[in-house]
Amino acid sequence: MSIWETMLGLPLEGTSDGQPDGGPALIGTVRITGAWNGALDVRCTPGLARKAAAAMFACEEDALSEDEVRDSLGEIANMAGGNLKALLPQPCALSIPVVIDAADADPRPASGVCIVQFTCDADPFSVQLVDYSNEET
Amino acid sequence: MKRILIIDDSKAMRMIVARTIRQAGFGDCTIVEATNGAEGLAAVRAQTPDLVLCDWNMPEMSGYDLLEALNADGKVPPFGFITSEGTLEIKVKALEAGASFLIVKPFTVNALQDAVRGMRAA
Repeated sequence: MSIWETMLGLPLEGTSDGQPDGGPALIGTVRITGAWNGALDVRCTPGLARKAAAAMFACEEDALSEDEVRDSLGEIANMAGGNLKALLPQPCALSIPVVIDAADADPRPASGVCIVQFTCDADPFSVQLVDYSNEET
Repeated sequence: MKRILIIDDSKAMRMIVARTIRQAGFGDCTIVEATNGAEGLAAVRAQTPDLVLCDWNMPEMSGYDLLEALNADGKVPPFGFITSEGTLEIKVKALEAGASFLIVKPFTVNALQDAVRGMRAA
């Protein structure tokens, strides 16, 4: 994933076990509406979100506020969503990113979901694409 | 290049753009920041920068709306977008509104360097 490598310089490996289920997680999400309706979620542990934020801010992890960690994850979701949007039928609009705790997230529909899983230094990380085209949102 | 205004609602991205400007060889510039188009518009009107590097999608006022407002003012400083919005439609819209370039995030030092140098050469 070029965002991870170009912007953060962090190692990323594809895996079949990248979903941080069970423990706490943060989700950065952007909605895409228009000719295609859906959402892109970037989900990772709070620890990995902090590590990514430290790379973006070029500082120590413990120097970051919670807002800065969330801002960074939101921007990662924004970049991923923008790159995805360019591949979708047009016209589409991209929302401002939102970052939430996974515990507060609405359950995603079981259908129309594509998940790509990674690990970064053994921390699980996933990108989830949710297709709302055939659903009430 | 003396004064560069970075407009982005993400603090992390403003930090990355500022760092990339320094890495691209423009370290002697003064960096000024704004967090959305409305703040950016006020900053440009208060003191015209030598270059504006602006996000597209922001709360309160988008980068495109900011550029249109500057066009209405009749005074548009050198202006480039740095955005995750990379569709052809957006690029055409940006250039037609008077932007000199549009760089898609994630971006490299070379991409910013080439865009700024290309603008200065034009």
